[in-house]
Amino acid sequence: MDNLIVTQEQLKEVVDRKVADQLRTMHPVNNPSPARGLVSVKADHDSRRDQARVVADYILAKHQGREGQAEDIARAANNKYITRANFNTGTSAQGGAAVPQFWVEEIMSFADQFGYTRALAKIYPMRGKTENLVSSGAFTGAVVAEGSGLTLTDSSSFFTATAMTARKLVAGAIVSEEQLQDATPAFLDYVVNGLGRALAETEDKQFFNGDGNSPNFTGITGLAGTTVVRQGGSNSSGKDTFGEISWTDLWNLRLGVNSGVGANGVFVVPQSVFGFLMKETGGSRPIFDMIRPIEIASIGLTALQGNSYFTPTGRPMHVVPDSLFPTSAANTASAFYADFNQFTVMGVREDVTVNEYKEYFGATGLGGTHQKGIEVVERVSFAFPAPSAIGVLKTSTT
Amino acid sequence: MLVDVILIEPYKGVSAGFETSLPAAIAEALIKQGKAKDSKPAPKVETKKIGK
Repeated sequence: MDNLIVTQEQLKEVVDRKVADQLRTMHPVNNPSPARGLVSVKADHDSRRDQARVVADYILAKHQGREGQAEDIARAANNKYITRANFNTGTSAQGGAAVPQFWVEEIMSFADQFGYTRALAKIYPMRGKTENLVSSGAFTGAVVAEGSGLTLTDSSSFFTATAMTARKLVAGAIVSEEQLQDATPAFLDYVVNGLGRALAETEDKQFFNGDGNSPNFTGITGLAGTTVVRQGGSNSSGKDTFGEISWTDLWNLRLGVNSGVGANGVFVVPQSVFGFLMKETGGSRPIFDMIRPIEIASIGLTALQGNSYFTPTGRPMHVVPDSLFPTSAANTASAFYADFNQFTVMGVREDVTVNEYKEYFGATGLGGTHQKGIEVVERVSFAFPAPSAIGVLKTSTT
Repeated sequence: MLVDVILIEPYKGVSAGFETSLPAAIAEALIKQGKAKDSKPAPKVETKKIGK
């Protein structure tokens, strides 16, 4: 066998990246904002006004069919606001168009801030429509006796692959001509914020609760092979609503996931379930009385800031909006426990395109209304290479 | 369609004694082989009162 040579730098990079990944999951908190004075605010405002003008001109040029001009505006903006050279934007010939990159990156940056999935899952830059992830295989270690060879083959478990296929997500908005003509920083912020949030929310809904019916992804709730634990300990416990959840169910969920893969796990619950857990009392004291708020000093993403708590089980809990989970019912997922950074993957294709519609957008006719529909398109995918490493707490069937 | 089963033997990383959701064909095969049982609770039998 050839010796594989790894330099110290390469090894350090891998270790550093792994540590950063781990920290992100363990202490997902936001960077504090720097102090802001009038000078920096004014400079920032002027720069934003300039950027807002660029975006408005760009959309107007596209609207009037002046593709060449739109492309020139995008390219001039890209030269002015130095952006990543390798951001892989489609060209006109590919059906897309050059896009002012600062705008796209801001939208993506907002999606990063608001997306729970982006904060929790392992982010995987995709090189094509489909990536095959190695999903299972046997890794064994052994002590080798003197003069003997090692036996590492586990005949029962060979490597298999999970295909991760990108699908299109879109976020859109209808804007009026006046808004574009009077482009202001506030308008730009509002549109960027809105598109970023819409993309992030769509991703989150698919990641947690996608039903697998085309064109939806299969999210964690619809995933086969997860480790399922029931509220009340059995499928006939009578605990068939979210309101009957107990912190002992959290213990059962944590312990239900194999300890080898659940070691760095975190809980994810919807807001309503968190409410029921917070209000639960043991004797006359609230169960959560003893918890301390999660430390706000490390790295992470805004989505989880202020939404993360330590639980009596010793593992962190992230609280997400109710809209990302199914509604309370019998035989329904009420909480997840997993090492998300290890066992859930979000693939991101870096092509982002912007489309513009003048006659009809979504279900709204725009003809003669002096409004335009703008749409941002991204391609992402989700994969769960080892479903059994994901614990799902479900309400009882009866 | 997914079927909820309680595993009698470990299957793909889920330990014995735990519940998991599996595609119907796989779940039925495991139940047939005695490696899993249906997690659905047995239906309640209404006892009929006889006599007075």
